[in-house]
Amino acid sequence: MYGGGQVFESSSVNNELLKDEDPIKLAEFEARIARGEKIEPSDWMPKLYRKQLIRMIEQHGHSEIIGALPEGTWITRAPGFKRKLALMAKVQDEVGHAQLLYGAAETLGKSREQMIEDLISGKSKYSNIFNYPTFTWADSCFISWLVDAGAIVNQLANARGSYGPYCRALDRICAEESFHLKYGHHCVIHLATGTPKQRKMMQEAVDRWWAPMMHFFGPSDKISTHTEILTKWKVKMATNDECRQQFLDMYVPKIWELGLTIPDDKLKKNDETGEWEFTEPDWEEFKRVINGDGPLNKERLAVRRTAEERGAWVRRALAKNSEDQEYTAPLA
Amino acid sequence: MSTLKSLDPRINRLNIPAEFGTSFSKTEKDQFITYEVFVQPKVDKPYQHEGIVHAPSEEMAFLFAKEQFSRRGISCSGVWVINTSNVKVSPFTENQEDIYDYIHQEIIEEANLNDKVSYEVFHLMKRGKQHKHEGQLEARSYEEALWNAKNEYAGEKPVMNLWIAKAEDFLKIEGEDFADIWDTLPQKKYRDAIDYKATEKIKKFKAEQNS
Repeated sequence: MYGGGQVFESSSVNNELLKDEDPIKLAEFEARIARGEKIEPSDWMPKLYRKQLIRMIEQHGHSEIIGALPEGTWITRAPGFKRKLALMAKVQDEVGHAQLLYGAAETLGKSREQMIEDLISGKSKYSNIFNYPTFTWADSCFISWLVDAGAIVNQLANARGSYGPYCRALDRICAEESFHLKYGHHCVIHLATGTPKQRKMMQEAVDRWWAPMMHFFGPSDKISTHTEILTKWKVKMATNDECRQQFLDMYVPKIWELGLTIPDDKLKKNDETGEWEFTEPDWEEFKRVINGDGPLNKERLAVRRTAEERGAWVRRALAKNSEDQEYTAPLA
Repeated sequence: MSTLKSLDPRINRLNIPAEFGTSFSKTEKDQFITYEVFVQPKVDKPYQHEGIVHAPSEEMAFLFAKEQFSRRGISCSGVWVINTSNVKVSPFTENQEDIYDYIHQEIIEEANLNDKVSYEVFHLMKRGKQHKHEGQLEARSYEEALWNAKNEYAGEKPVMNLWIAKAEDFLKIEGEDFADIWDTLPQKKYRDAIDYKATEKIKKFKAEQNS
């Protein structure tokens, strides 16, 4: 589950990386992408392409791991055996997605150890939305349906990108997400069409999660020379605004048809432009949370670190006979 | 020392310190080495590359691979794992050229020959797709295996990239003895989108709202 917000930074460092590339190799690389061919790990690629892809795939992987926490907390309290089975399977899928994504990032030369280090020390980011708490079962239902829906919009776009290993991981991920989406929708329908108390619980979850959901796709990204090149290289496949619009178009009617209200009185589709209009999200809060000051940033990383530290002896015991094995980066 | 207070009772029971700071480092190969995983979805289908797992041994690699790559889907009839370092990889060809056109008899003339063993050969037919198992052949070296692969498998369609590895380097979990590992796959309907039908419920709800 990943929304793609705040992935790319345009900076002079990046322009510097691009400046001294071999023009002939760069032209061949760009021609390959223009022909619609995928780039594979052993191909020549610009340093900026490698850097931005590592950053994007790694953030995506971290989001899957951290994203499993707010839902995982509801496994023991899920209402009924069937919901418990389904939620366990979903959380297992999310963690599996992280494995696939870390594997794809490794083909670009960043080790898994380094990625985990950067997550736990706070250097790498993950989707902002997982820094909010799930107070009730309905919060977990909101995530399963709508956060996954948002992630699918972003992931389907990225699956058409240029880097082979990332596309293959995303194809597999998107296939698995279809169950998450249907399961989540099923849970929300059950509450929204249930008793007054259930309806109230679901409505309160929508009220809590709408702002983080609008943040999920990241701030508006006006075209700059920087995003232009990443679009040309098929790293960035859709703008944050395009993903947000697509999400609103697909899911607002589905939320409304369940008799739920969305806490934004400006939200409506402009019939002339075909675009959704809404209250501008609070980007100051978004930035504050990204930079570590959200309700649960500290807890999420503390839990991840604790799992890492308290599991270390198991890994050490298992590694006993394999210490002299040589690491080779994954092939594809 | 104060502990972290959470909404989640399980986290409270962990007694995690409230403050950690930001420094954290892992030792090299803390996550082990990687194994490449190949899955056979059905008995009559070729094995296909699915990705990697990190594991301390090939047995553990199989267990992780089974969870990671064969827990979803309708059927699975086998999983192979191999240490990534044991797979020999050819260069990629350009412009629809066949990698076999670059393998000439000279390749075997200077090779050191050992006892004859079996090799597994995998083809990539298109960039972006997965490598698929083409077949097994015998040879006295990797070079001879490549030459034999050319004679056996080169065809009309160009092969863009070749992977080749000794059969003995794989852990292969397949065949009658292991068939029951994947027996329960069809029972896990709760992992399929199709198990969550709700159209009727929405229709009924809307009808009630409108009446």
